[in-house]
Amino acid sequence: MNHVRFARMNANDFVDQLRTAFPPEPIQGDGAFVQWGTTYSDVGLYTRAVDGKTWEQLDPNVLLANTDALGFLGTRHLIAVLPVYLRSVVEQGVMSPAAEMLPIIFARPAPGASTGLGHARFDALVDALTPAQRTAIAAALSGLATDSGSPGRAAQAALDSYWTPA
Amino acid sequence: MKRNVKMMVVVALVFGASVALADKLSDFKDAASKDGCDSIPYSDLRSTCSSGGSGVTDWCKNSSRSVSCGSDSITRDLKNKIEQARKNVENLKDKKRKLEDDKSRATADDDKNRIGKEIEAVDKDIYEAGKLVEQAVADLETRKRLVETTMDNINKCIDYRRSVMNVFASALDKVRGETDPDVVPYARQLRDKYEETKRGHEIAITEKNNALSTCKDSRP
Repeated sequence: MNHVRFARMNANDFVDQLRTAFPPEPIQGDGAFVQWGTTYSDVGLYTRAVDGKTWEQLDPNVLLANTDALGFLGTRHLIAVLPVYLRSVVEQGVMSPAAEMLPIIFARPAPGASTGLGHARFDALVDALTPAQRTAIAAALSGLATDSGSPGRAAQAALDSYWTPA
Repeated sequence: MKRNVKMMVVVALVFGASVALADKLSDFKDAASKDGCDSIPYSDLRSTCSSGGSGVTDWCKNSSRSVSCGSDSITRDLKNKIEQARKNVENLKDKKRKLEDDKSRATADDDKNRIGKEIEAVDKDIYEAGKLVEQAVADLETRKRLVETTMDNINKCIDYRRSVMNVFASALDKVRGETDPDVVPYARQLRDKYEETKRGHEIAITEKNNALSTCKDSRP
């Protein structure tokens, strides 16, 4: 399967890319959901799971079981935990628990449409990302897009919506 | 005497109403400072939300339950594998038939023996290729069962996620209807909370709907 081959070939290089793009700074859990997620049902669990840890110290099992948090996190916190999810899709391909979620989060809503994060949050996200972080996101989506099934097509659509250079 | 009783009833009613209002205000103050289901000031809705939340944990986040079919390309690959394995068996059978023809036409004993050994080798290959077909068919059958189980799990997950989202929609309707001047400022805070976080619930449901659609496309 293409997606698996791609993931295995590039996983180590990709982790290096993530380390460069997302510096290992401790995450402050407090306020992670204040902006967009106070009704999220696992605020306490997720906040405790991330508080005081760098992204490499996070428990991927906890974070990947809670991919729904990505729709509720504030912009700064979303960026802080992204490497865990990006790494998972590159290492596990379509079998990653984040494979269905990331294309939704990273798809820029079409003009007039209110999909994914919505215009305001999507714009806030891409504005807050560094060029290296954007490149890492595009690489993860490209890896997922090698799948010939529906997750691959969703990843390609997300890529085309914003992340592929014109 | 009758008048005293009436007075007592009125006092009791007024006292009861003010206690109820104080309780309500306290519920709203509490809810405004909390998150998740605890941000709902109405006990009936809060309770529905909590049980929905437990369902989400159990059916959407439980590592012992599969909630993803991966990709429909996996099923396609497995079906292609069966087709290729079957083709391989057919090719080997053709090869054997040709060898048997050759053997029947051969006149020299040496040729007959040589072709006989070749046929034996092809028989072994046919046997091994047959086992590969069986394995590929079993893999597809396993995939089929996984897909069906996963679809059941995802459907339950979606039901619970919808129930949680609907509870917040009901809570939103109710806080919008609050008119008590003491409660209104907190009701507004809660209204903003519910509106700002609605998208998060929608995204979570969209993710599972997409996962379900992938599973449907993954049926053999």
